[in-house]
Amino acid sequence: MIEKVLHALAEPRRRDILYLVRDGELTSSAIASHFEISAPAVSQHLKVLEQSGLVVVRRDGTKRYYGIRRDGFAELKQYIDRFWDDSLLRLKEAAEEEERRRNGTNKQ
Amino acid sequence: MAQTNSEIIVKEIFIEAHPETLFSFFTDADKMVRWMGRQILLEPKIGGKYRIDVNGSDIAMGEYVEIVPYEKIVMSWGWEKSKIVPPGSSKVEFRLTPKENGTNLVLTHYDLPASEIPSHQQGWSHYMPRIKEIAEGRDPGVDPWTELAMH
Repeated sequence: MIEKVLHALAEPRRRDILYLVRDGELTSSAIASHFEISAPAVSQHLKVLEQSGLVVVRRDGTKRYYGIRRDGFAELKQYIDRFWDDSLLRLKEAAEEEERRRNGTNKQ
Repeated sequence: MAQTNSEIIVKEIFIEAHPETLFSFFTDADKMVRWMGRQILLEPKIGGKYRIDVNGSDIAMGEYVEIVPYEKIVMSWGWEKSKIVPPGSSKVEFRLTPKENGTNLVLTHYDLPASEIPSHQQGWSHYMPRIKEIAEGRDPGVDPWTELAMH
């Protein structure tokens, strides 16, 4: 999960796209009109953003509307936050076990 | 236990083990693997590298920046193949303080993605706080850079 988010954010144009869709949905052609790069290149960026979970797509007929997915940002932070929570609890358990072993005879 | 925002994570935990016992869990791969990741390679000296296979797909990498026995460990931190948080681009500090029959451990993860993104012409430092506002459901207001930024 995290790899996709980090990868998505690495490209300046993708950050620009996120900024463009911050206030509401835009079609891919509206987004493309802000850039000098080709439409297929913009589509590629949109695809990466969609896969990362930072952007969400809504289809309406032949049009595709892109909007920001707030949860995507929260997930990145939560991932790291959870990682440390889980790790520290395991550390506590392992170190306390080690301490008891060191103290040897009277405990354990 | 947690106090967080987008650029820094701080966690504190009390562990019933003396700093001498706890410290080895940061410098000994066999002990570290008991609490972090599945497979660990490390070189516990200043400038020494480490590689932690976190879950089979995410690989954390960096170097030991500071090692103060029984007191403090600072590691640079990042993810393999990540352009935005490349190995070693953020920093994790562990502080060990003796307390009663154990150790108070404070973890601080600095320089998380938000502040470490290489600046584009418009400057990511301008965008990130705003994106954070948006992500948290607040209105960041009119962007003074709107005109400059996108055209």
